[in-house]
Amino acid sequence: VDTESLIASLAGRAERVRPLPPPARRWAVWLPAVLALTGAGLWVLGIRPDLGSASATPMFVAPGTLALGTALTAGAVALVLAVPGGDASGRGRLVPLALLGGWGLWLLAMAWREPATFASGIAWPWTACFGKVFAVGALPAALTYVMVRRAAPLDGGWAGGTAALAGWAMGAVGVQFACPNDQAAHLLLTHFAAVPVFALGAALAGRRWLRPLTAG
Amino acid sequence: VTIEQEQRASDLMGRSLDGDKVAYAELLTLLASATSRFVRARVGDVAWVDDVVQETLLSVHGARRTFDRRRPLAPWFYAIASSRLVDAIRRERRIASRELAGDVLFDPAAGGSGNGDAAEARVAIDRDALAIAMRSLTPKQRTVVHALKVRGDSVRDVSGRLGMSETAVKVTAHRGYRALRRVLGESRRGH
Repeated sequence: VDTESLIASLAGRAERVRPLPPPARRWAVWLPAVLALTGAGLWVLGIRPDLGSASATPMFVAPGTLALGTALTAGAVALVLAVPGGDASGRGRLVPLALLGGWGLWLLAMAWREPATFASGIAWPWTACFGKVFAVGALPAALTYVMVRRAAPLDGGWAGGTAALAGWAMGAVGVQFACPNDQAAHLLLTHFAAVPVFALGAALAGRRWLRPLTAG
Repeated sequence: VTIEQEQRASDLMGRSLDGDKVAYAELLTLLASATSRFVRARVGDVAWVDDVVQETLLSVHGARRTFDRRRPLAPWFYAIASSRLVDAIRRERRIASRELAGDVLFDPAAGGSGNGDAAEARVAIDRDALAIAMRSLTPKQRTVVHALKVRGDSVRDVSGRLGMSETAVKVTAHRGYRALRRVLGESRRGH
C-alpha cells in the first residue's frame, strides 16, 4: 500500500475523537481509586492491633512514607509516559526509582544494625507478607496498567514497570498497616523486595503487551 | 519546525479531532513529509523510509486521543516518529542478522567440497525453492507472508497498512503458508 492510499484510508476513518484528559487530571482520578482498592485489600487482611502505638515510630513512618512516595510518583510517571512526548527528557522516571532506592537503602541500613533479625524476619509466617504485598497491590497495579494502556505508551517496558511499581508500592503501604512486624530485615526482605520483583516482571510483560501503537 | 508550521499543524490536528476528514488528510500528508525528512536526516536515504512513514501515520492515528490541544504538536508527533524509527532500525538489524548476503551463497558453478559447502548448497537450494514457491502465491498472500515472516511485522500492523481486518490477514497468511507447504513438499519430492 502506498502512503497516499494509507492517508486516504485513515482520513476516511476520521471521526470526532474524545480526547483523553491530561495526565494530571487522570492522576487525580487514579489516586482515590488506588487508595480505595488498597483499603479494600487491607480490609480483607485486617488492621494490625498495635496500629495506634506503632504508627508513631520511625520504623513505621519512614518506610511507609518512602513507599507511599514511590507509589504516588510512579503512578504519575506511568500516566505521563502513556502520552507520546510526555517525558521527553527521561528525567521524570528517575524520581520513583530514587524513592524506591532510598526506601530500600534506608531499610538495609536499619537491618544492618541488627543482623540477628534477618533469620527471624523472613521465617514463617512473616514470609507470607511477600504474597500479601502481591495480593493487596495486584488490583492497584492492574488499574494503573489499564489506565496506561488506554492511552498510547511508546515505551511499554517503562510504562508497564512504573505502573506496576505504583500498584505494588501501594500494596506494600497497605500491608504495613496489617503486619505487626516492624523489624527492618522483615520489611526489607518481604515488604520492600516484593515491589521491585513484581515491577520488573511487569516491565518485561509491558514490553510485549503494553505497546498498542507498535508493530512488535 | 517553524512557528507557522507548528500553528498550521496544530490547527489541522484540532479540526481532525473534531472529525474533519479533509483537515485530517492534509495533516497526515504534512506529517508524512515531515517524517520522511526526519528519517532521511538521521539514517540517510534507506529503502525503508516509506515503512517508517506509514508506521508513524498509523501510530499518530492510534494515539490521536492523547493529543492535548493546549500543547504544541511537534513534541508529541516527533516522539512517535522517533519511536517508530528506532523500531524500524531494530527490525532491520534483526532481519540483517538472519539473512545471508547473496555473495556468500553457494555457487553451483564454482563446485566445492566438505560439509560447509554442502550446508551452503542446501541453503541456496532452499532459498531458490522458497523463491519459486513464493511466486506460486497470489499477490495478496505474497504481500502478507512477506510482511509477517520477512519484515517481522505484526498482524495488526499489516492489517492497518493493507486496509484488511486482522482476521482477514490471518486467513490470508494461513492459506499462503498452506500453499507454500504444498509447493515446497512437491519440490522436495522432485529432488
